[in-house]
This record gives sequence, structure tokens and C-alpha cells, in this order.
Amino acid sequence: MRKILALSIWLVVFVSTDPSSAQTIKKIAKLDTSGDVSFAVLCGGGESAVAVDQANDVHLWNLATGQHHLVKTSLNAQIDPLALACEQKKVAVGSVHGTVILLDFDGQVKQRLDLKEEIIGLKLSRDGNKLAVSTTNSPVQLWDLASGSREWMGITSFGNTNSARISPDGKSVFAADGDTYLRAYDIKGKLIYAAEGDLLEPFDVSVSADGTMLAVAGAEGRLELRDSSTGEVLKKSSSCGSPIFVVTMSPKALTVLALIVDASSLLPVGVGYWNADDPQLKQLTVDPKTVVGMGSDANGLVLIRQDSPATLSIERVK
Amino acid sequence: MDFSRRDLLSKCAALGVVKLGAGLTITTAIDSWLLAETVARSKTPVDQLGPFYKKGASQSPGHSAVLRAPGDPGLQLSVAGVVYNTRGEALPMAKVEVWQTDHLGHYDITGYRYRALLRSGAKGEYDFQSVLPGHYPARKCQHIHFLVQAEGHKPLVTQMYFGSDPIFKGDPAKNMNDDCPSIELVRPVLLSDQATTMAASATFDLVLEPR
Repeated sequence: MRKILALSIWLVVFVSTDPSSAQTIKKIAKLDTSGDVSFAVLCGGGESAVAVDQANDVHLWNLATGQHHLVKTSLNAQIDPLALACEQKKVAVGSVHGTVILLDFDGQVKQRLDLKEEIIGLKLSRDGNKLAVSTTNSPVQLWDLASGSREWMGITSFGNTNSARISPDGKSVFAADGDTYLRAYDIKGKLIYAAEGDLLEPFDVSVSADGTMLAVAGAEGRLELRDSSTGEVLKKSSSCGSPIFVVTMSPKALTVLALIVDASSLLPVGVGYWNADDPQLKQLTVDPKTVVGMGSDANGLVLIRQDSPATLSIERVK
Repeated sequence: MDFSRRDLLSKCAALGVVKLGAGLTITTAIDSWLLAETVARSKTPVDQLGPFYKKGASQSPGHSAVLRAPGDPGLQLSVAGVVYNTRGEALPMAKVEVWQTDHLGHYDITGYRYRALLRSGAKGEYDFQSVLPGHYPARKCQHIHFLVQAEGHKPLVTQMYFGSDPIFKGDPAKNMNDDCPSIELVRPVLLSDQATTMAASATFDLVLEPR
């Protein structure tokens, strides 16, 4: 999905939405930036935020103190929107040329990895010691950051892993694979299951805070709630009619945010909200061209939006 | 009657036109002969699978498929090739899945338009009739996706590109871009006049690695 998403998935033209949501969106933090941000993520329990700007430089914010660091990455290649990950002490950024840099929150580059593959997704374990990597042509890879080496690579029948996540307890890795399967591995790389998915590819998987549930979505345009221990589908949402590229689960209830993209341009056309108690996938009344990221903190789901060229807002979705 | 190379060599041996040295069996001799005649091939470069691979396309009978429906707009396109392995052996019964956009750059996500599954023929051959795929905003180049699987070989996921694509400005070697991973995947296009309709054709051999 690399170039597809890479160009401008977050900051693009508004196409259309069908707002029917009763959700409220409330601003909880405002961050100053020096210019346009391409995409952003919330870290750990929401103590910090990280963004990549259009020059591929990384912005780090401590949300409690407001402290901001700007780091010149010297990554002379495009960074995909999902190739940015952070946890409480570490930030990982990967380029389409295969370089991953790891930073601390003081903005110091601590480590560099060279994968020689086009990186489309990164996810850190909560302790920051493991990194799950998705690339354009390979199954998921798990890297050990203490040794700087790859521990294992997953399997697919064919094709790559589109997105992978490490469970909150650090014991499992979940992969949304291009061959349409959802696979779970233990942290040593042993395959636990390969659960059959929809006819079209899944693009993203998100793990609940307690690790028991997964939210999966992709080109079919609907969300699935699955049991993380078996991969079994527990609930399905209605389809929004367009592919879903990113999903984030709330830590508090079975609610999910979804970035909806146009099937032809692959540009954002809406932000979906799903409460798994109700099959209907609703759309939030936000302009998708302003959304640069989504995530969750200890209190629930959040959107990160760019209000103006020099400001990011973190907003709670209820 | 259509004899295979193996049949002919067997007959030649039986008739004494080909004589076997001491210790050589007919099977070993023919295998070695055929192996010597094959040309090692470089594996086809890999390209990304997605994002709109869809499983479940119905299998076309034989080694040919028709993706376009009568009256479909767009420049008619014929694609043909042979499935080999890197030893140069043709691979019959390889499973070849192809999918592409229509001439306007739209994938069929709800159905199976411009998607097909076929099996290569006895000499590894395959072909399909389609239209030249359109451009769409997320990709710079016109392309057709391929997923090829054959017993004893690694699956091949790749894409075919067209030398006639305006993005290459008439010179793909000089004007390659990051949307296409290898010049080997860019195929020349032959235009021909078929009765009242102009049509394009291209060849694309697919080379798999043994496991």
C-alpha cells in the first residue's frame, strides 16, 4: 500500500461524508507546530504526541508540560503514515527506503536499523523493546531493539502484511495480511492461528487495552470485532461502502474509530465511529482533510487534527 | 499428431537414430538432453500485492480468460505469456490470478469485473483479453496485478506495466519512477488494427523460483 497512502493520505481534499453521528468531539489539548504536519500519533497512555511534518522532521510533545522538540531525521525518503510509532520512552520512524530511526523523547536519535525494504508500518511494544515492522513485500517482522536484530518473520500464503500490532502484555503479535488472513503469533514467532478474513484485504488491526479483543478492517469497508485468542468474528459493523485504512479501539468500551478512504484515490473521505453493540458504522461530523491522526488515551478515543498551519488539536470523541 | 520433445527423443532412441552410451538409461538421457536445452531465467521481480486483491475469482476454463465484456469501453488489450521457473522449465497448470482497474482506473470491489483466475497450459502458456487499465490518483502508472502459484515453487506477486504509459514519456528506461520497481516489468505494447477496432497486445512471461 506504500505509495498509495504515502503521498497525502492525511492532508487532502474533502470529498463527501454522510454525517449521522451523535458523538461529541471536545478539544482537550492544543499543540503549536512550525508548519504543516503530515500525520501524528498519540503515545503511551496519552502523555505525549509525535508528528511528522512535510519535511520529514519529527515533532515531539510532552502533553503534560507542553515541551516541544523538533528533530531533523535526515531521512531522505518518504515516510508512510503508519510508519510512525511511539510508546512511553521511544519513538520509531521508518522510511520507504528501509531505514528506521529510534528516538527518545528528548529528541536524541538512539538507534538506526537498516531493513532494505520499503516500510509501511511500525508498532512498538509497550516497553519499547520490540518493534513489529510491516513492509510492502514481506510478512510481519519482529525486531529486538536491545540487540538491533530481527528475531523472526511471519508467514503468509502470498504477499505482505499490511499492518501489525503487539498486544499490550507484549506476548502476542497480530498481523493483517494481504492474503486476506488475520494471523496471531506468540512473541517468539510461533503461529497461534490464521483466521480467514473477508474476500478483500484487511488493512489494519487494533488490540483492546485488555488484549482480549481485536478490531479489524480493510477494503470491505466494515469493522469486525474478533476474539484475540482464536480470531473468531464476534461482531460485524455495517459497511460504509469505502475502504477503511486505520482502526483504533477505545481502552474503555468496545468503540472504534476508523479512517475511511476513497476506493479510487485512497484519500480520506470520512472518520467512522462504531460502537460494537450496534451494527451501524456512523460517521463523525469532522472534515477529514483536517485529520492527521487518531488514537486513544486512558480515557477513550481521540482525534488529532490540524486546525491551522501552526496548530494541532487533540480532541476527545465521546 | 502433436509430439512433445520427449516423445520425439524417445522415438529416435527406439529407432536407433539416437544411440545411448553405456550406463545411460533412456529416461536419464532424455532428462539430461532437455535440461541442456533449457535456458536459465531470472525470476520475475516482485511487486506489491494490494490494496485490492480479492480472493474467490471464478476459474476460467483452460489457459485463457476474457476480462472485458462485449461493448466495454477502453482500448482492447491482449496479454499473453509463459510461466517458467528459474531453471527455464515451462510450468503447466500454474494458477495465474490477474486483476486490474477498468479503463477509468476503478477497481471492482463489490464484484469480479476485470479479475480472473486461469491455469497455464501444457507448455506453460496463458493469455487473457482485457482493456488497457486506467490511471488512478494513488498510482502513477497503469498496471495489471498478477499472483502466480505453482506446485513446488514460491508464489510470485508482481505487476505488469506498459511502455506506452504516458508517464514514461516514450522512454521507460530513462523515465522510470518510484511507482514501478523494475524496468523488467515494463512491457512494450504492440498496436494493431483488428477489423474496425484498434487493439493493443503485450507479452509478459512469469518466472517463479523453486522452493
